[in-house]
Amino acid sequence: MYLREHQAKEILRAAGLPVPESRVVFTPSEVAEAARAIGPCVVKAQVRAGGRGKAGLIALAQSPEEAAAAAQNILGQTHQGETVDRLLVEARLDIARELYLGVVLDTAQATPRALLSTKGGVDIELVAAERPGDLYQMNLDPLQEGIKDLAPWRKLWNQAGLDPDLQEQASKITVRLMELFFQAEAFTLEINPLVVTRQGRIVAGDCKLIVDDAALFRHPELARFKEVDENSLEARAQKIGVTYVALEENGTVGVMAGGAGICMTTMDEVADAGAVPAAFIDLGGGISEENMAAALEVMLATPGLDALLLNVFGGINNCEIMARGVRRMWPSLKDKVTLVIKMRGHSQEEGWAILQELGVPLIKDGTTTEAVRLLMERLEEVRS
Amino acid sequence: MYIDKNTRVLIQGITGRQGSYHTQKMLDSGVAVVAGTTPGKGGQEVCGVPVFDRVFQALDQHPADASMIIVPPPFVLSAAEEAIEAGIKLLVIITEHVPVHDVMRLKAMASKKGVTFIGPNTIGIIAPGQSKVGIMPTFLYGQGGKVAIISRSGTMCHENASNLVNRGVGIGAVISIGGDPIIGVDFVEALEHFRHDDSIGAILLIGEIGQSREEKTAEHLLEHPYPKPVFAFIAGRYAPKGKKMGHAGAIIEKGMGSAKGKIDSLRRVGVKVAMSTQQVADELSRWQEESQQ
Repeated sequence: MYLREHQAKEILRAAGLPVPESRVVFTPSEVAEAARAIGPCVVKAQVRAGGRGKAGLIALAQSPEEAAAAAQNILGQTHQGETVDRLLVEARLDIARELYLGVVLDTAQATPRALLSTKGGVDIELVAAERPGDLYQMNLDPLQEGIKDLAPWRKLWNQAGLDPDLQEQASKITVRLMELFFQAEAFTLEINPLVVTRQGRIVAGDCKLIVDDAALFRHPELARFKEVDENSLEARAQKIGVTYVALEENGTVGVMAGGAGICMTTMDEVADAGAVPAAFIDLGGGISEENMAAALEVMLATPGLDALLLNVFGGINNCEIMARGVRRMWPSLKDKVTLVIKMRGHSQEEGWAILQELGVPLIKDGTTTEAVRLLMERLEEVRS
Repeated sequence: MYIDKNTRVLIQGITGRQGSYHTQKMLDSGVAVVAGTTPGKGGQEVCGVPVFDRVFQALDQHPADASMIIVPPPFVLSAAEEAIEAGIKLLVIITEHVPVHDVMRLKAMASKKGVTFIGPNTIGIIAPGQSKVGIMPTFLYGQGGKVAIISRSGTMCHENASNLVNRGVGIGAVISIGGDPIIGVDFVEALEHFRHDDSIGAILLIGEIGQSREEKTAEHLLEHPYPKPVFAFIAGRYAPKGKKMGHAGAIIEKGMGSAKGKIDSLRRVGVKVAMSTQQVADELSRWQEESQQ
């Protein structure tokens, strides 16, 4: 789950990390009021995607009137598919220099990796690619041994060329950030820029926090930020415990399978055959008859859908139960889509019997390629 | 292979709906399931298998070589810790949606204690005709053979194994390594496991977009040339960028982890990458014919 900047900063503040004074607001009049209280400020769109500065979604304001005018302009804009519905009004920092501090999960080595640089404020991927010598790195112990030690960070900030009188402050912030990374069960926790003010204080200018959805059950402080559009097909699918992934807007073929790998493979082969995949549903494991039917209903609600390929295995699922789910939805299915089913695994004989009774074109022993070929043939027949 | 016909299996979470269902399936296919655990349910039986509260209690009476963990996500880390402390050297973690930080801790712990773990979010491992520690339908995997499948996706194991069996290609080992961001045994470790195993003649790697496991495997193969033919298949050639595709790990960002990058890097080191499930079956049946001549 990606947090918005204001949410991430709320988490930083609660963890004792320095963030500028700020308020989250939704209307231009609230912006003016916040600016009156805060003084010279920055007005920032609260969308999750990066590149806000270049897109004109961050504005400086000297007065409440300027802040309101900037808000007027920014609110309602769309940035990479997200509409700006709220702003962060934040006290302006008197910037002397900008640093970078982040920690990511290094999945290949299965350890967190801290990254820091005195060349902050820019796209850190570019620094990593073009001047790797400017990016200092250290892997952390997953068992968190020595996590409170300042010494390694003093050394690293010193190597990075940070002014000696700032090293102690920067190291303390670094230790707190690493602790927070573990506490929040983050994938990524990044402060860029980490601002050094002319008064010699170090403050988080921006913050990116990505946390593990699978761990939210033990993090109510993060789970409350989870936002779902209740009516979206993704949310409807999530409610029944399956994953809906929308693909092409002009797509016509739906794919349902158990597991992301086979969903993607089926989608690839549909595209190779010259059809356009509209969406896939990953059924996951342990699906019931009711949820199978509900998942089919969600898939049928995909705009433009006229074909459906069900490519399922009875592994942790059961063929008979899945086939019964299909039978439940059969009246809507047969009217709406050209359907082909490939099914094998636990209780396959029972599943096949149900599907054959319905008259669904069925692949028992063939490959996914053969199932896609059969679907294409059926579509040709329907369209001619 | 990590298991053979003598492998004795413990099941943690045996009294759950999934646990008991798959215990029966394992017994049906001849696996030596010796005991199970569920805290608070000690003294019961599941499909005739005795249940204990704790792993060490189970092992006192029923020594086991491997544990299959099929408990809800919040309890996976402590179940795995318990098994490690009790001295089990092979863990297979079936559970999906395990918090990634828990798996990271487990990985550090397991490596200190010399324990091998597979998963999480895996269908397990099978040596067809011998044994399995997993939840795959045994009959889809045939009765044994010379091909080893190593896959990030569980259902893609079912797909390819059953396609091969239908074509008469024999499978000797299947390891579903799992699709999560952090996993136990990965491609490189599994490949090394089969390097000197004479019962295995060819390898099929099934990868997917996201992360860099396949690229790292290609680097490894370049540095350590492999003595057997390696085939591969990569899912997600058509996946839109920046979109999460279900598996926690299956996402492409900023050109990293794309199907094209993975296919190119594997081909560069001599791996034969197939572009469809049909082609996988065709190429491996051709390999089997040629190797039998």
